[in-house]
Amino acid sequence: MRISLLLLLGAAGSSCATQSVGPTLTLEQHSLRIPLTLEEDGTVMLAERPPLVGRIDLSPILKAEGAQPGAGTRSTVQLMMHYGRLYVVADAFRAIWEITPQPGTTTASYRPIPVVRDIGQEPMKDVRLSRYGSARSSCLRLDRAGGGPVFITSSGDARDDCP
Amino acid sequence: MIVRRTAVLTGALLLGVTCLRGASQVEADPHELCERAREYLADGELRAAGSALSRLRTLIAKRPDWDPEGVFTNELLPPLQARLNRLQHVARKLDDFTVEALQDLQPPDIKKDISTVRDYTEWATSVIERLRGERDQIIGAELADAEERAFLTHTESYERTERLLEVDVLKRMADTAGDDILGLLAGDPELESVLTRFRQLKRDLMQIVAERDQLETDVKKSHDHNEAVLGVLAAVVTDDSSLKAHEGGRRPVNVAELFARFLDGEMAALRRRSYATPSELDVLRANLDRYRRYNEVLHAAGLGQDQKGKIQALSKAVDGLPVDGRGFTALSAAGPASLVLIGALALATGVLGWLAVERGRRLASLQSSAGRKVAIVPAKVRRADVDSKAV
Repeated sequence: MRISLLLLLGAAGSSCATQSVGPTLTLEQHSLRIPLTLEEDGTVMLAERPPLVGRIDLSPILKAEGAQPGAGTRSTVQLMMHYGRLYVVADAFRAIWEITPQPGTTTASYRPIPVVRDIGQEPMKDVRLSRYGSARSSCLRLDRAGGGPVFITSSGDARDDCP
Repeated sequence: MIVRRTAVLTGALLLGVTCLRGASQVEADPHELCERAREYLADGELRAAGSALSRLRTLIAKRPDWDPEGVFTNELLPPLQARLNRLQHVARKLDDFTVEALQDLQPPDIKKDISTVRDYTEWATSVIERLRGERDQIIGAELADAEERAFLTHTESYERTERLLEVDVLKRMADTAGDDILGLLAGDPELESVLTRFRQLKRDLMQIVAERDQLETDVKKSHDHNEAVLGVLAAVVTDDSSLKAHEGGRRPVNVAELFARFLDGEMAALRRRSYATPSELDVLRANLDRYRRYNEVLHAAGLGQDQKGKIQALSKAVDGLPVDGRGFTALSAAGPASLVLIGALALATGVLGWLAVERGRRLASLQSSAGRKVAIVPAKVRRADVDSKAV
Protein backbone atom coordinates (compact mmCIF):
# COMPACT_ATOMS: atom_id res chain seq x y z
CA MET A 1 0.00 0.00 0.00
CA ARG A 2 2.74 2.41 0.99
CA ILE A 3 4.81 1.42 -2.02
CA SER A 4 1.96 2.00 -4.40
CA LEU A 5 1.29 5.40 -2.84
CA LEU A 6 4.94 6.31 -3.23
CA LEU A 7 4.89 5.19 -6.84
CA LEU A 8 1.79 7.30 -7.51
CA LEU A 9 3.37 10.35 -5.91
CA GLY A 10 6.55 9.75 -7.85
CA ALA A 11 4.64 9.51 -11.13
CA ALA A 12 2.70 12.66 -10.35
CA GLY A 13 5.87 14.49 -9.42
CA SER A 14 7.69 13.44 -12.57
CA SER A 15 4.75 14.49 -14.76
CA CYS A 16 4.75 17.89 -13.10
CA ALA A 17 8.47 18.22 -13.59
CA THR A 18 8.33 17.47 -17.33
CA GLN A 19 5.42 19.84 -18.03
CA SER A 20 6.87 23.18 -19.11
CA VAL A 21 4.68 26.04 -17.99
CA GLY A 22 5.93 29.22 -19.64
CA PRO A 23 4.82 32.71 -18.87
CA THR A 24 1.56 33.78 -20.44
CA LEU A 25 0.08 37.04 -21.62
CA THR A 26 -3.32 38.14 -22.75
CA LEU A 27 -4.08 37.41 -26.38
CA GLU A 28 -7.48 37.95 -27.92
CA GLN A 29 -7.64 37.12 -31.57
CA HIS A 30 -10.82 38.10 -33.34
CA SER A 31 -11.75 39.63 -36.63
CA LEU A 32 -14.68 41.23 -38.29
CA ARG A 33 -16.42 39.03 -40.82
CA ILE A 34 -14.41 38.51 -43.96
CA PRO A 35 -16.19 37.74 -47.24
CA LEU A 36 -13.91 35.66 -49.45
CA THR A 37 -14.24 34.47 -53.01
CA LEU A 38 -14.31 30.75 -53.49
CA GLU A 39 -11.86 29.59 -56.14
CA GLU A 40 -12.82 26.87 -58.57
CA ASP A 41 -10.76 24.30 -56.71
CA GLY A 42 -12.50 25.09 -53.43
CA THR A 43 -9.81 27.26 -51.87
CA VAL A 44 -10.08 30.80 -50.59
CA MET A 45 -7.15 33.22 -50.72
CA LEU A 46 -6.76 35.22 -47.52
CA ALA A 47 -4.71 37.80 -49.41
CA GLU A 48 -8.00 38.92 -50.91
CA ARG A 49 -8.48 40.85 -47.67
CA PRO A 50 -5.10 42.26 -46.65
CA PRO A 51 -3.26 42.24 -44.32
CA LEU A 52 -4.14 38.55 -44.08
CA VAL A 53 -2.30 36.27 -46.48
CA GLY A 54 -2.34 32.51 -47.11
CA ARG A 55 -5.03 30.16 -48.27
CA ILE A 56 -7.54 27.71 -46.91
CA ASP A 57 -8.60 24.63 -48.80
CA LEU A 58 -12.33 24.40 -48.13
CA SER A 59 -12.98 21.58 -50.56
CA PRO A 60 -13.48 18.95 -47.80
CA ILE A 61 -16.05 21.20 -46.19
CA LEU A 62 -17.79 21.90 -49.48
CA LYS A 63 -17.85 18.20 -50.21
CA ALA A 64 -19.36 17.48 -46.82
CA GLU A 65 -22.00 20.12 -47.46
CA GLY A 66 -22.79 18.48 -50.78
CA ALA A 67 -21.70 21.51 -52.76
CA GLN A 68 -19.18 21.14 -55.53
CA PRO A 69 -16.93 24.13 -56.16
CA GLY A 70 -16.23 25.33 -59.67
CA ALA A 71 -18.88 25.11 -62.33
CA GLY A 72 -17.49 28.27 -63.87
CA THR A 73 -19.13 30.62 -61.39
CA ARG A 74 -17.48 32.10 -58.36
CA SER A 75 -19.24 32.36 -55.05
CA THR A 76 -18.31 33.70 -51.67
CA VAL A 77 -18.03 32.37 -48.16
CA GLN A 78 -17.84 34.24 -44.89
CA LEU A 79 -14.90 33.75 -42.59
CA MET A 80 -14.44 35.06 -39.09
CA MET A 81 -11.77 34.57 -36.47
CA HIS A 82 -13.01 34.10 -32.94
CA TYR A 83 -10.72 33.34 -30.00
CA GLY A 84 -8.05 32.18 -32.43
CA ARG A 85 -10.27 29.76 -34.34
CA LEU A 86 -11.66 30.35 -37.77
CA TYR A 87 -15.32 29.89 -38.56
CA VAL A 88 -16.64 29.48 -42.08
CA VAL A 89 -20.17 29.60 -43.37
CA ALA A 90 -21.95 30.27 -46.64
CA ASP A 91 -25.44 30.23 -47.97
CA ALA A 92 -26.69 26.70 -48.66
CA PHE A 93 -24.61 25.32 -45.81
CA ARG A 94 -26.27 23.30 -43.09
CA ALA A 95 -23.53 23.84 -40.53
CA ILE A 96 -21.04 26.41 -39.46
CA TRP A 97 -17.52 24.99 -39.70
CA GLU A 98 -14.89 25.48 -37.06
CA ILE A 99 -11.28 25.43 -38.27
CA THR A 100 -8.59 25.17 -35.62
CA PRO A 101 -5.14 26.07 -36.93
CA GLN A 102 -2.22 23.91 -35.87
CA PRO A 103 0.56 26.41 -35.13
CA GLY A 104 3.78 25.82 -36.99
CA THR A 105 2.14 23.74 -39.71
CA THR A 106 0.15 24.30 -42.86
CA THR A 107 -2.75 22.21 -41.65
CA ALA A 108 -5.77 22.72 -39.47
CA SER A 109 -8.37 20.47 -37.93
CA TYR A 110 -12.01 21.18 -38.67
CA ARG A 111 -15.43 20.12 -37.51
CA PRO A 112 -19.02 21.02 -38.31
CA ILE A 113 -21.31 22.67 -35.81
CA PRO A 114 -24.72 21.66 -37.15
CA VAL A 115 -27.29 24.42 -37.43
CA VAL A 116 -29.90 22.90 -39.74
CA ARG A 117 -30.27 19.44 -38.32
CA ASP A 118 -33.49 18.32 -39.95
CA ILE A 119 -32.84 16.69 -43.34
CA GLY A 120 -36.13 17.98 -44.72
CA GLN A 121 -35.35 21.53 -43.67
CA GLU A 122 -33.97 24.04 -46.16
CA PRO A 123 -30.28 24.92 -45.81
CA MET A 124 -29.24 28.29 -44.46
CA LYS A 125 -29.81 31.49 -46.38
CA ASP A 126 -28.63 35.10 -45.94
CA VAL A 127 -26.04 33.96 -43.43
CA ARG A 128 -24.04 36.50 -41.50
CA LEU A 129 -21.35 36.21 -38.86
CA SER A 130 -20.85 38.76 -36.07
CA ARG A 131 -19.32 39.03 -32.64
CA TYR A 132 -21.73 39.32 -29.80
CA GLY A 133 -21.63 39.44 -26.03
CA SER A 134 -19.49 41.10 -23.44
CA ALA A 135 -15.84 42.01 -23.42
CA ARG A 136 -15.04 39.18 -21.01
CA SER A 137 -16.92 36.50 -22.90
CA SER A 138 -18.04 37.15 -26.42
CA CYS A 139 -19.72 34.71 -28.78
CA LEU A 140 -19.68 34.25 -32.49
CA ARG A 141 -23.18 35.04 -33.65
CA LEU A 142 -24.65 33.46 -36.75
CA ASP A 143 -27.73 35.13 -38.19
CA ARG A 144 -29.72 33.67 -41.06
CA ALA A 145 -33.03 34.23 -42.78
CA GLY A 146 -35.99 32.42 -41.31
CA GLY A 147 -34.21 31.15 -38.21
CA GLY A 148 -33.08 32.33 -34.83
CA PRO A 149 -29.48 33.33 -34.19
CA VAL A 150 -26.96 30.71 -33.15
CA PHE A 151 -24.20 31.59 -30.70
CA ILE A 152 -20.84 29.84 -30.66
CA THR A 153 -19.08 30.19 -27.33
CA SER A 154 -15.36 30.62 -26.79
CA SER A 155 -15.09 26.87 -26.26
CA GLY A 156 -16.83 26.18 -29.56
CA ASP A 157 -20.24 25.13 -28.23
CA ALA A 158 -23.39 26.10 -30.11
CA ARG A 159 -26.17 27.68 -28.05
CA ASP A 160 -29.36 29.67 -28.49
CA ASP A 161 -28.01 32.48 -26.36
CA CYS A 162 -24.66 33.95 -25.47
CA PRO A 163 -23.82 33.26 -21.84
CA MET B 1 -31.33 11.40 -54.42
CA ILE B 2 -27.83 12.35 -53.33
CA VAL B 3 -27.07 13.70 -56.78
CA ARG B 4 -30.25 15.74 -56.72
CA ARG B 5 -29.45 17.15 -53.29
CA THR B 6 -25.95 17.95 -54.42
CA ALA B 7 -27.22 19.76 -57.47
CA VAL B 8 -29.73 21.73 -55.44
CA LEU B 9 -27.10 22.66 -52.87
CA THR B 10 -24.59 23.59 -55.52
CA GLY B 11 -27.09 25.78 -57.29
CA ALA B 12 -28.15 27.41 -54.08
CA LEU B 13 -24.53 27.95 -53.07
CA LEU B 14 -23.57 29.48 -56.37
CA LEU B 15 -26.62 31.63 -56.71
CA GLY B 16 -27.43 32.26 -53.10
CA VAL B 17 -24.14 33.34 -51.63
CA THR B 18 -23.70 35.96 -54.28
CA CYS B 19 -26.62 37.73 -52.66
CA LEU B 20 -24.53 38.51 -49.59
CA ARG B 21 -23.97 41.98 -50.95
CA GLY B 22 -27.58 42.44 -51.84
CA ALA B 23 -30.55 43.14 -49.69
CA SER B 24 -30.41 40.89 -46.69
CA GLN B 25 -33.48 39.60 -44.92
CA VAL B 26 -31.53 39.64 -41.69
CA GLU B 27 -31.59 42.73 -39.49
CA ALA B 28 -28.65 45.07 -40.10
CA ASP B 29 -25.78 44.61 -37.68
CA PRO B 30 -22.95 47.03 -36.78
CA HIS B 31 -20.63 45.63 -39.42
CA GLU B 32 -23.22 46.07 -42.15
CA LEU B 33 -24.09 49.60 -41.02
CA CYS B 34 -20.40 50.46 -40.97
CA GLU B 35 -19.95 49.15 -44.51
CA ARG B 36 -23.01 51.04 -45.70
CA ALA B 37 -21.73 54.27 -44.16
CA ARG B 38 -18.38 53.80 -45.91
CA GLU B 39 -20.05 53.23 -49.27
CA TYR B 40 -22.35 56.23 -48.86
CA LEU B 41 -19.38 58.43 -47.99
CA ALA B 42 -17.47 57.25 -51.05
CA ASP B 43 -20.50 58.06 -53.19
CA GLY B 44 -20.86 61.51 -51.67
CA GLU B 45 -24.24 60.68 -50.16
CA LEU B 46 -23.58 62.44 -46.89
CA ARG B 47 -27.15 62.38 -45.60
CA ALA B 48 -27.41 58.62 -46.06
CA ALA B 49 -23.99 58.12 -44.48
CA GLY B 50 -25.07 60.19 -41.49
CA SER B 51 -28.23 58.12 -41.20
CA ALA B 52 -26.28 54.84 -41.28
CA LEU B 53 -23.84 56.06 -38.64
CA SER B 54 -26.71 57.28 -36.50
CA ARG B 55 -28.38 53.88 -36.73
CA LEU B 56 -25.08 52.23 -35.83
CA ARG B 57 -24.68 54.44 -32.78
CA THR B 58 -28.25 53.79 -31.66
CA LEU B 59 -27.93 50.04 -32.14
CA ILE B 60 -24.75 49.86 -30.09
CA ALA B 61 -26.18 52.09 -27.38
CA LYS B 62 -29.36 50.04 -27.06
CA ARG B 63 -27.72 46.66 -27.41
CA PRO B 64 -24.09 46.85 -26.29
CA ASP B 65 -23.79 43.10 -26.84
CA TRP B 66 -23.35 43.87 -30.54
CA ASP B 67 -20.09 45.58 -29.72
CA PRO B 68 -17.95 43.53 -27.35
CA GLU B 69 -14.92 45.53 -26.20
CA GLY B 70 -16.31 48.58 -27.98
CA VAL B 71 -14.52 47.93 -31.26
CA PHE B 72 -17.15 49.77 -33.24
CA THR B 73 -17.67 52.50 -30.66
CA ASN B 74 -14.01 53.26 -30.08
CA GLU B 75 -12.20 52.16 -33.20
CA LEU B 76 -14.40 52.03 -36.26
CA LEU B 77 -17.11 54.60 -35.74
CA PRO B 78 -15.04 57.69 -34.73
CA PRO B 79 -12.93 57.93 -37.91
CA LEU B 80 -16.03 57.46 -40.07
CA GLN B 81 -17.91 60.10 -38.10
CA ALA B 82 -14.92 62.44 -38.31
CA ARG B 83 -14.73 61.97 -42.05
CA LEU B 84 -18.45 62.63 -42.37
CA ASN B 85 -18.13 65.77 -40.25
CA ARG B 86 -15.29 67.08 -42.39
CA LEU B 87 -17.17 66.42 -45.61
CA GLN B 88 -20.38 67.97 -44.24
CA HIS B 89 -18.44 71.01 -43.08
CA VAL B 90 -16.89 71.56 -46.49
CA ALA B 91 -20.18 70.84 -48.23
CA ARG B 92 -21.83 73.58 -46.16
CA LYS B 93 -19.02 75.95 -47.05
CA LEU B 94 -19.49 75.15 -50.71
CA ASP B 95 -23.21 75.81 -50.43
CA ASP B 96 -22.53 79.19 -48.85
CA PHE B 97 -19.95 79.89 -51.51
CA THR B 98 -22.46 79.12 -54.26
CA VAL B 99 -25.15 81.35 -52.76
CA GLU B 100 -22.76 84.24 -52.20
CA ALA B 101 -21.20 83.91 -55.61
CA LEU B 102 -24.62 84.07 -57.27
CA GLN B 103 -25.55 87.11 -55.21
CA ASP B 104 -22.32 88.87 -56.09
CA LEU B 105 -22.57 88.21 -59.79
CA GLN B 106 -22.78 91.71 -61.19
CA PRO B 107 -22.06 92.13 -64.87
CA PRO B 108 -20.21 95.34 -65.86
CA ASP B 109 -22.27 98.53 -65.96
CA ILE B 110 -23.34 98.94 -69.55
CA LYS B 111 -24.33 102.57 -69.02
CA LYS B 112 -20.74 103.63 -68.46
CA ASP B 113 -19.25 102.15 -71.57
CA ILE B 114 -21.25 101.04 -74.57
CA SER B 115 -18.33 99.21 -76.16
CA THR B 116 -18.22 96.45 -73.56
CA VAL B 117 -19.53 93.60 -75.64
CA ARG B 118 -16.10 92.03 -75.62
CA ASP B 119 -15.77 92.91 -71.97
CA TYR B 120 -18.73 90.72 -71.16
CA THR B 121 -16.94 87.66 -72.44
CA GLU B 122 -13.80 88.62 -70.60
CA TRP B 123 -15.81 89.30 -67.50
CA ALA B 124 -17.49 85.89 -67.67
CA THR B 125 -14.17 84.14 -68.21
CA SER B 126 -12.43 85.94 -65.39
CA VAL B 127 -15.35 85.41 -63.00
CA ILE B 128 -15.47 81.70 -63.71
CA GLU B 129 -11.71 81.38 -63.19
CA ARG B 130 -11.85 83.36 -59.98
CA LEU B 131 -14.79 81.38 -58.59
CA ARG B 132 -13.18 78.10 -59.51
CA GLY B 133 -10.00 79.13 -57.73
CA GLU B 134 -11.95 80.17 -54.64
CA ARG B 135 -13.84 76.93 -54.56
CA ASP B 136 -10.72 74.82 -54.93
CA GLN B 137 -9.08 76.86 -52.22
CA ILE B 138 -11.94 76.14 -49.82
CA ILE B 139 -11.66 72.42 -50.51
CA GLY B 140 -7.87 72.35 -50.32
CA ALA B 141 -7.84 74.24 -47.04
CA GLU B 142 -10.42 72.01 -45.38
CA LEU B 143 -9.62 68.57 -46.74
CA ALA B 144 -6.04 67.34 -46.64
CA ASP B 145 -6.89 63.79 -47.65
CA ALA B 146 -7.01 63.25 -51.43
CA GLU B 147 -9.53 60.45 -50.97
CA GLU B 148 -11.88 62.76 -49.10
CA ARG B 149 -11.47 65.41 -51.78
CA ALA B 150 -12.49 62.78 -54.32
CA PHE B 151 -15.50 61.80 -52.18
CA LEU B 152 -16.53 65.45 -51.99
CA THR B 153 -16.73 65.73 -55.76
CA HIS B 154 -19.64 63.26 -55.61
CA THR B 155 -21.68 65.43 -53.23
CA GLU B 156 -24.64 67.57 -54.23
CA SER B 157 -22.89 70.67 -52.89
CA TYR B 158 -19.94 70.18 -55.20
CA GLU B 159 -22.28 69.59 -58.13
CA ARG B 160 -24.00 72.86 -57.33
CA THR B 161 -20.68 74.69 -57.57
CA GLU B 162 -20.02 73.00 -60.90
CA ARG B 163 -23.37 74.20 -62.13
CA LEU B 164 -22.54 77.67 -60.90
CA LEU B 165 -19.32 77.70 -62.89
CA GLU B 166 -20.61 76.06 -66.00
CA VAL B 167 -24.15 77.37 -66.29
CA ASP B 168 -25.20 80.03 -63.84
CA VAL B 169 -22.54 82.61 -64.62
CA LEU B 170 -23.26 82.52 -68.33
CA LYS B 171 -26.97 82.41 -67.74
CA ARG B 172 -26.83 85.40 -65.42
CA MET B 173 -24.90 87.34 -68.01
CA ALA B 174 -27.30 86.38 -70.74
CA ASP B 175 -30.39 87.11 -68.67
CA THR B 176 -29.47 90.17 -66.72
CA ALA B 177 -26.84 91.95 -68.74
CA GLY B 178 -28.45 91.06 -72.04
CA ASP B 179 -31.84 92.40 -70.94
CA ASP B 180 -30.31 95.57 -69.50
CA ILE B 181 -28.47 96.23 -72.70
CA LEU B 182 -31.46 95.54 -74.86
CA GLY B 183 -33.64 97.74 -72.66
CA LEU B 184 -31.07 100.52 -72.76
CA LEU B 185 -30.58 100.44 -76.45
CA ALA B 186 -34.17 99.96 -77.52
CA GLY B 187 -35.64 102.94 -79.28
CA ASP B 188 -32.34 104.62 -80.16
CA PRO B 189 -31.97 104.44 -83.96
CA GLU B 190 -28.30 105.38 -83.81
CA LEU B 191 -27.52 102.37 -81.79
CA GLU B 192 -29.56 99.94 -83.87
CA SER B 193 -26.47 98.06 -85.04
CA VAL B 194 -25.28 97.67 -81.45
CA LEU B 195 -28.72 96.48 -80.43
CA THR B 196 -28.63 93.88 -83.17
CA ARG B 197 -25.24 92.69 -81.99
CA PHE B 198 -26.44 92.35 -78.45
CA ARG B 199 -29.52 90.42 -79.53
CA GLN B 200 -27.28 88.15 -81.45
CA LEU B 201 -24.98 87.86 -78.47
CA LYS B 202 -27.86 86.88 -76.23
CA ARG B 203 -29.06 84.27 -78.69
CA ASP B 204 -25.54 82.94 -79.01
CA LEU B 205 -25.13 82.70 -75.29
CA MET B 206 -28.39 80.86 -74.87
CA GLN B 207 -27.47 78.59 -77.73
CA ILE B 208 -24.08 77.91 -76.19
CA VAL B 209 -25.72 76.96 -72.91
CA ALA B 210 -28.18 74.67 -74.69
CA GLU B 211 -25.41 73.10 -76.77
CA ARG B 212 -23.29 72.57 -73.70
CA ASP B 213 -26.20 70.84 -71.94
CA GLN B 214 -26.71 68.66 -74.98
CA LEU B 215 -23.01 67.89 -75.14
CA GLU B 216 -23.01 66.94 -71.48
CA THR B 217 -25.86 64.53 -72.13
CA ASP B 218 -24.08 63.09 -75.15
CA VAL B 219 -20.84 62.72 -73.22
CA LYS B 220 -22.65 60.94 -70.42
CA LYS B 221 -24.35 58.59 -72.89
CA SER B 222 -21.04 57.96 -74.59
CA HIS B 223 -19.36 57.38 -71.25
CA ASP B 224 -22.05 54.90 -70.18
CA HIS B 225 -21.71 53.13 -73.50
CA ASN B 226 -17.93 52.97 -73.17
CA GLU B 227 -18.26 51.59 -69.66
CA ALA B 228 -20.65 48.92 -70.89
CA VAL B 229 -18.30 47.99 -73.73
CA LEU B 230 -15.31 47.92 -71.42
CA GLY B 231 -17.28 45.80 -68.98
CA VAL B 232 -18.07 43.28 -71.69
CA LEU B 233 -14.47 43.37 -72.87
CA ALA B 234 -13.24 42.78 -69.35
CA ALA B 235 -15.67 39.88 -69.01
CA VAL B 236 -14.35 38.36 -72.23
CA VAL B 237 -10.65 38.68 -71.47
CA THR B 238 -11.03 37.40 -67.92
CA ASP B 239 -13.39 34.54 -68.73
CA ASP B 240 -16.21 36.35 -66.93
CA SER B 241 -14.43 36.47 -63.57
CA SER B 242 -14.32 40.26 -63.54
CA LEU B 243 -18.04 40.78 -63.67
CA LYS B 244 -18.67 40.08 -60.04
CA ALA B 245 -15.72 42.11 -58.92
CA HIS B 246 -17.15 45.06 -60.75
CA GLU B 247 -20.83 44.64 -60.16
CA GLY B 248 -22.47 47.42 -58.22
CA GLY B 249 -19.35 49.52 -58.54
CA ARG B 250 -19.56 53.03 -59.88
CA ARG B 251 -15.90 53.29 -60.64
CA PRO B 252 -14.72 52.98 -64.22
CA VAL B 253 -13.85 49.57 -65.58
CA ASN B 254 -10.11 49.07 -65.79
CA VAL B 255 -9.76 46.28 -68.31
CA ALA B 256 -5.96 46.28 -68.12
CA GLU B 257 -5.97 45.85 -64.36
CA LEU B 258 -8.64 43.15 -64.49
CA PHE B 259 -6.75 41.30 -67.20
CA ALA B 260 -3.49 41.48 -65.24
CA ARG B 261 -5.26 40.26 -62.10
CA PHE B 262 -6.88 37.50 -64.08
CA LEU B 263 -3.47 36.37 -65.36
CA ASP B 264 -2.17 36.42 -61.78
CA GLY B 265 -5.11 34.27 -60.78
CA GLU B 266 -4.41 31.84 -63.59
CA MET B 267 -0.77 31.65 -62.48
CA ALA B 268 -1.83 30.98 -58.90
CA ALA B 269 -4.19 28.25 -60.11
CA LEU B 270 -1.41 26.69 -62.20
CA ARG B 271 0.99 26.68 -59.27
CA ARG B 272 -1.53 24.78 -57.24
CA ARG B 273 -1.70 22.04 -59.83
CA SER B 274 0.59 19.09 -59.40
CA TYR B 275 0.00 17.60 -62.85
CA ALA B 276 -2.16 17.81 -65.97
CA THR B 277 -3.59 15.26 -68.32
CA PRO B 278 -2.68 15.58 -72.01
CA SER B 279 -6.14 16.91 -72.83
CA GLU B 280 -5.89 19.45 -70.02
CA LEU B 281 -2.53 20.54 -71.36
CA ASP B 282 -4.10 21.08 -74.77
CA VAL B 283 -6.75 23.27 -73.18
CA LEU B 284 -4.16 25.21 -71.20
CA ARG B 285 -2.08 25.84 -74.33
CA ALA B 286 -5.16 26.91 -76.25
CA ASN B 287 -5.92 29.31 -73.39
CA LEU B 288 -2.40 30.71 -73.62
CA ASP B 289 -2.89 31.42 -77.32
CA ARG B 290 -6.12 33.17 -76.46
CA TYR B 291 -4.46 35.29 -73.76
CA ARG B 292 -1.74 36.27 -76.23
CA ARG B 293 -4.36 37.44 -78.70
CA TYR B 294 -6.22 39.36 -75.98
CA ASN B 295 -2.97 40.97 -74.89
CA GLU B 296 -2.09 42.03 -78.41
CA VAL B 297 -5.52 43.52 -78.97
CA LEU B 298 -5.62 45.31 -75.63
CA HIS B 299 -2.09 46.61 -76.00
CA ALA B 300 -2.68 47.77 -79.57
CA ALA B 301 -5.87 49.56 -78.49
CA GLY B 302 -4.00 51.34 -75.72
CA LEU B 303 -6.18 49.72 -73.07
CA GLY B 304 -3.33 48.48 -70.96
CA GLN B 305 0.30 47.60 -70.57
CA ASP B 306 1.87 44.71 -72.41
CA GLN B 307 1.34 41.58 -70.31
CA LYS B 308 3.73 39.51 -72.39
CA GLY B 309 5.90 38.79 -69.37
CA LYS B 310 3.04 37.32 -67.38
CA ILE B 311 1.86 35.26 -70.33
CA GLN B 312 5.40 33.93 -70.88
CA ALA B 313 5.58 33.01 -67.21
CA LEU B 314 2.25 31.22 -67.61
CA SER B 315 3.57 29.44 -70.67
CA LYS B 316 6.62 28.26 -68.74
CA ALA B 317 4.42 27.08 -65.91
CA VAL B 318 2.27 25.11 -68.35
CA ASP B 319 5.34 23.57 -70.00
CA GLY B 320 6.66 22.63 -66.58
CA LEU B 321 3.52 20.76 -65.56
CA PRO B 322 4.12 17.01 -65.33
CA VAL B 323 1.91 15.03 -67.66
CA ASP B 324 -0.32 12.43 -66.08
CA GLY B 325 0.22 9.68 -68.68
CA ARG B 326 1.75 7.09 -66.45
CA GLY B 327 -0.11 4.11 -67.98
CA PHE B 328 1.30 4.74 -71.44
CA THR B 329 4.72 5.52 -70.08
CA ALA B 330 4.84 2.24 -68.16
CA LEU B 331 3.73 0.34 -71.23
CA SER B 332 6.40 1.80 -73.44
CA ALA B 333 8.98 1.29 -70.72
CA ALA B 334 8.15 -2.43 -70.63
CA GLY B 335 9.63 -2.69 -74.16
CA PRO B 336 9.30 -5.82 -76.40
CA ALA B 337 7.36 -7.79 -73.80
CA SER B 338 4.54 -5.31 -73.91
CA LEU B 339 4.56 -5.35 -77.73
CA VAL B 340 4.29 -9.16 -77.76
CA LEU B 341 1.44 -8.97 -75.28
CA ILE B 342 -0.35 -6.35 -77.38
CA GLY B 343 0.19 -8.49 -80.51
CA ALA B 344 -1.20 -11.57 -78.82
CA LEU B 345 -4.21 -9.67 -77.61
CA ALA B 346 -4.81 -8.21 -81.07
CA LEU B 347 -4.54 -11.69 -82.66
CA ALA B 348 -6.93 -13.17 -80.13
CA THR B 349 -9.36 -10.34 -80.75
CA GLY B 350 -9.14 -10.93 -84.50
CA VAL B 351 -9.72 -14.68 -84.21
CA LEU B 352 -12.63 -14.23 -81.86
CA GLY B 353 -14.09 -11.61 -84.16
CA TRP B 354 -13.78 -13.91 -87.19
CA LEU B 355 -15.43 -16.76 -85.25
CA ALA B 356 -18.26 -14.50 -84.26
CA VAL B 357 -18.79 -13.32 -87.81
CA GLU B 358 -18.71 -16.88 -89.13
CA ARG B 359 -21.18 -18.05 -86.53
CA GLY B 360 -23.40 -15.17 -87.38
CA ARG B 361 -23.37 -16.10 -91.05
CA ARG B 362 -24.28 -19.70 -90.28
CA LEU B 363 -27.14 -18.72 -88.09
CA ALA B 364 -28.39 -16.32 -90.72
CA SER B 365 -28.19 -19.03 -93.35
CA LEU B 366 -30.14 -21.50 -91.19
CA GLN B 367 -32.76 -18.98 -90.39
CA SER B 368 -33.25 -18.02 -94.03
CA SER B 369 -33.62 -21.62 -95.18
CA ALA B 370 -36.03 -22.62 -92.41
CA GLY B 371 -38.14 -19.56 -92.47
CA ARG B 372 -38.38 -18.98 -96.22
CA LYS B 373 -42.01 -18.88 -97.31
CA VAL B 374 -43.03 -20.45 -100.54
CA ALA B 375 -45.88 -18.85 -102.40
CA ILE B 376 -48.46 -21.42 -103.34
CA VAL B 377 -50.61 -20.21 -106.20
CA PRO B 378 -53.42 -22.39 -107.51
CA ALA B 379 -52.67 -23.15 -111.13
CA LYS B 380 -55.26 -22.55 -113.71
CA VAL B 381 -55.00 -24.71 -116.77
CA ARG B 382 -56.29 -23.19 -119.89
CA ARG B 383 -57.29 -25.26 -122.84
CA ALA B 384 -54.90 -23.53 -125.17
CA ASP B 385 -52.01 -24.43 -122.96
CA VAL B 386 -52.66 -28.12 -123.12
CA ASP B 387 -50.64 -30.01 -125.67
CA SER B 388 -53.09 -31.53 -128.09
CA LYS B 389 -50.81 -34.51 -128.54
CA ALA B 390 -50.75 -35.31 -124.98
CA VAL B 391 -52.68 -38.34 -123.97
